[in-house]
Amino acid sequence: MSQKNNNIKQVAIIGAGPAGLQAATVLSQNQVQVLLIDKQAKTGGHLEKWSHLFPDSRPSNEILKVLQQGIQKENIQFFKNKRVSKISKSNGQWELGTDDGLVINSDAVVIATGFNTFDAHQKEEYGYGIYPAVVTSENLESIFKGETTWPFNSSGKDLRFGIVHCVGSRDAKCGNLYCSKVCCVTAVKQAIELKKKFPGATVYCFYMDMRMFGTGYEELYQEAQTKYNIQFIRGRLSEASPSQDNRLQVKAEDTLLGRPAKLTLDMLVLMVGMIPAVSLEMKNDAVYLNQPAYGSSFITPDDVFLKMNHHQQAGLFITGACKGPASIPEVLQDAKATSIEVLNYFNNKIK
Amino acid sequence: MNQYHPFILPFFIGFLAMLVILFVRYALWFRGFSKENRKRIAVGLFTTQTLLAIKEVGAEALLHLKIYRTNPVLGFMHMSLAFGWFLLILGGKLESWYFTGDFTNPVWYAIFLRYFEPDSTHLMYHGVFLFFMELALLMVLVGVALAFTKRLKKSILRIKNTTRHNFGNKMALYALWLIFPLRLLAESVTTAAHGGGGFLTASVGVLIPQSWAVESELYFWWAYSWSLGLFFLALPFSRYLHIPTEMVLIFLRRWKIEPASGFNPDKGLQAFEVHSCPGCGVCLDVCPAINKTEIAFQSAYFVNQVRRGNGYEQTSGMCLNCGQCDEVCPVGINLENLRHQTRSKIFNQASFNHSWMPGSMVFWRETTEVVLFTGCMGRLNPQTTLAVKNLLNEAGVSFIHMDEEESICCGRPMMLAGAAESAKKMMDRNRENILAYHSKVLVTTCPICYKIFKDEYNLEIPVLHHSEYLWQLIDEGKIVREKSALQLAYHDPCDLGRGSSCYEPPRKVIDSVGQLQTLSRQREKSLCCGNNLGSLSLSENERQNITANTLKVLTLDNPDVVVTACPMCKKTLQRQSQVKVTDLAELLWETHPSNSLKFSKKIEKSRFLAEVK
Ligand SMILES: Cc1cc2nc3c(=O)[nH]c(=O)nc-3n(C[C@H](O)[C@H](O)[C@H](O)COP(=O)(O)OP(=O)(O)OC[C@H]3O[C@@H](n4cnc5c(N)ncnc54)[C@H](O)[C@@H]3O)c2cc1C
Ligand code: SF4
Ligand code: SF4
Ligand code: SF4
Repeated sequence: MSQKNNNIKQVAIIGAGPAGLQAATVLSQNQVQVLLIDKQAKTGGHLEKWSHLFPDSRPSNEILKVLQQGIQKENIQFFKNKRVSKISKSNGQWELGTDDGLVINSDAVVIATGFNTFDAHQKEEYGYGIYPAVVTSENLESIFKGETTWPFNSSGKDLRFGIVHCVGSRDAKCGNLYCSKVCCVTAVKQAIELKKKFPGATVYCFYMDMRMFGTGYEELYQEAQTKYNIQFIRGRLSEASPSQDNRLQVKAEDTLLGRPAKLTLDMLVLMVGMIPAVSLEMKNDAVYLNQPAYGSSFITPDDVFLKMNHHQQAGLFITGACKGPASIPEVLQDAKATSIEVLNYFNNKIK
Repeated sequence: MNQYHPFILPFFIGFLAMLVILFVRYALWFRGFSKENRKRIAVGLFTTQTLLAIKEVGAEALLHLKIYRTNPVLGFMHMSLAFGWFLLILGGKLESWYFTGDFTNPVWYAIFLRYFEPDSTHLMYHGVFLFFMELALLMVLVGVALAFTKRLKKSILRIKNTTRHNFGNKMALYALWLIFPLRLLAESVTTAAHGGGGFLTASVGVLIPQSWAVESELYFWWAYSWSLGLFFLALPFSRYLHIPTEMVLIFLRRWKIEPASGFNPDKGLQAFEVHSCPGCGVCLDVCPAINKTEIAFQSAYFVNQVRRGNGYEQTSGMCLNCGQCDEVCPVGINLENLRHQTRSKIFNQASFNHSWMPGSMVFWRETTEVVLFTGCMGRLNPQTTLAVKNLLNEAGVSFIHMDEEESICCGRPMMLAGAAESAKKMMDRNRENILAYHSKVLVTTCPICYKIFKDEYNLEIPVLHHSEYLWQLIDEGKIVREKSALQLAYHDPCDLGRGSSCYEPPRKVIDSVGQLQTLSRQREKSLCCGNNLGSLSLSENERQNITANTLKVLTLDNPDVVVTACPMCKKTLQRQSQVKVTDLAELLWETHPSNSLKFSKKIEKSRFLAEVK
């Protein structure tokens, strides 16, 4: 590809989401030539899809703009619409292959492929894809952004919304035992946003337990209850079905009160969990980036304390949500840490 | 002519002891029969059924035809052992009769004939007798060799054999291995000493010096007699008890003895059943869960545990209840029933609260042609329910969807868990509800419900699985489709196929819209999806292993869609499949001309579903 100056090192970054963008920014500031590759046409990954961000309800554009400005540099080259499917190494040089046959060479590789959202069709009992009033948290963000319309008559009175936690997470049947971490607080964020848009509406959250792990999250949860009067019901939703008046009927068990609850709703939001975007497979000395299958796991670091950004071979780095569910602040910090590891790797090689 | 020698005593005493013990055990079991069953025996005894039973004893207990059909090597082993030995006994008797002209000669005389009458050359046709007797002996020896290598191979391959060998088993097994080689030796030594002998004993006999043979002949006959005696003595306490018991069972079955409810492995029919299992292992190979679980729970092990009286509590709950082993068990043990009775024994302490059940007092209901019942599993598959409703509308059939009104669980899950009493309460109420609609037919989308509606409900209206009803609508021209090039693999649900013998209707429906593939395991031999409600205690992981294997078989020929006819199978397969999995009703609805835009030959997973906009 690009011409090589012996002193200048090149890094290929797979994925231009928040993690990839941040790593590209830091590395380019340190005189590394960056080849940034994404299977999509735009940069920003999932961040680009969100309307406002927890914990402080800031418009996601603000963060996206900063990250995108970071890569407006001479020494960063962006390859769009290229899905990397194979990584191999020979003579200390890395070679990346894409689905359409492009080959990219570099001195180090950073995998920042992030996550996919769980396919809600798989929980057919919740009626996603069957009843239009059932949407995912991802769909709701695009509704908030005005890219799609509300799936109900938004001028109606006494609107009622339901939010289901843990869809596709913590569910052995779905093959995913882990917690997706950010969906509890996303639910709180979205519930508040719904109340802001429809102050007269009632919002119910059906949760197993509330995992408010980050700074400011617990406060947001308190605010949701006291200021916005959002109803948190502990219990798993069993099913959704159409009601007589063409709305949705849901059944759940309120495990705190110990009785079944039956509710009629105008919209049901499924908090879809995070699943890996790629599943790595070692074959004939090359790493293949496969489409993940049922129960595929995220990419595991070599050591969860000491080598969080390394994956099995010297010069191959991993960063961001490709290692497991994470929030944007966490992912950005991680990308900076990864950048230092990459720089150390280059420095040690030159010596 | 001397017909007695003390060496026959070990054999004779062992044999007599066996007869007495068997008599006592069987008598105890017989006492467990209900009045009705005793009456059945009294009536059946003098019918042609008894003759048929004798014929069956020949075919199964001696020739082992059923085992032979499923596993020729295993069948041959059992056949050469059982039939060969039978020929030896029969031949010995005939030969001794021929010799003495007296049919009532002592038992041991016939068994040890070659000792008493080494040289028979003065008799006519003696060569024919010798030849057949030695052929039979050879046959048994081949059987013994096969059994020996089977055991050896098993231990070399370290196949975990949970059949713990108790003392009786060990003694019987070693004695059995010795009996026929010792017989060969004893007869050969006698041949070496006194001449005579057939192709087998004569050829072994020439290797033995005559003087030595004369001296040591008796030791071999003693040894042979001891091995026989020990075997007979050990038989009633070993798994070889299955040999006589299986024969009795055949008669009992012919006389139409009904199983009693309850867990009684030491009484009545159940006692005869559990003691008839030879541990042939035919049920192991067909089980979808074989080698996929931490603890082996298959019928061969389970029946053995019931017999031993421990361990079955755990294994009875693991089985998927898929019915494969019932289908193939050569002895015809009612394995499903045995498991249910075991479960009832374990679960009957649990009490359930039924206050939630909706009332049955109804003032007015619209009468429709069809009552549609989609059941608890239907709730997990709204797409299927929707498709069925659309199809009924398309065909112009009036229907009521019961689950939207007042449906109760069909009761089978509780039944499978062993809570028969509770299940009964639900079924009675549900039955009232169903009949209150005065519809012509009950259609259900769930094979689990279907089976219990048909087998246990005694509804006055026909019960149809939706595949049957949809095929009827297609056949009547009320639903019309064009056959496409779609490659379709059909998964037989356990409760629909083996459980209810419904194999054709789903295939006909599928065949009317696409190309039905032939699979390596289908119909009676199809594999369980891994999530049969029957299993109460298999772990998620073990289930997923089973599912993965089933999917492998289903997708071997790269079908475009895997089609099934059960909400549970669909849900289970769908989660783990790379290929689209759907219910046949959905397939039929999606191929409706108005949907055809959505339907191309190649489809991706979840392609059918309208995107949310
Ligand atoms: C509904 C929802 C709402 C959320 N809201 C918030 C919030 O308000 N605040 C917050 O902090 N966090 C939020 N998050 C979490 C946040 O989205 C993630 O932390 C963040 O997107 C992770 O960034 P990433 O770069 O690691 O992965 P991603 O954002 O997934 O980016 C990965 C990129 O890699 C590309 N890629 C993948 N595979 C390949 C390949 N083989 N070849 C080339 N390119 C590839 C993808 O196209 C994508 O652009 C939310 C998550 C969800 C699910
Ligand atoms: S973060 Fe909350 S909603 Fe998401 S998986 Fe964990 S517990 Fe469930
Ligand atoms: S249960 Fe039936 S198939 Fe299984 S070992 Fe016993 S006799 Fe054979
Ligand atoms: S019923 Fe099926 S799962 Fe159970 S032991 Fe028999 S073959 Fe195995």
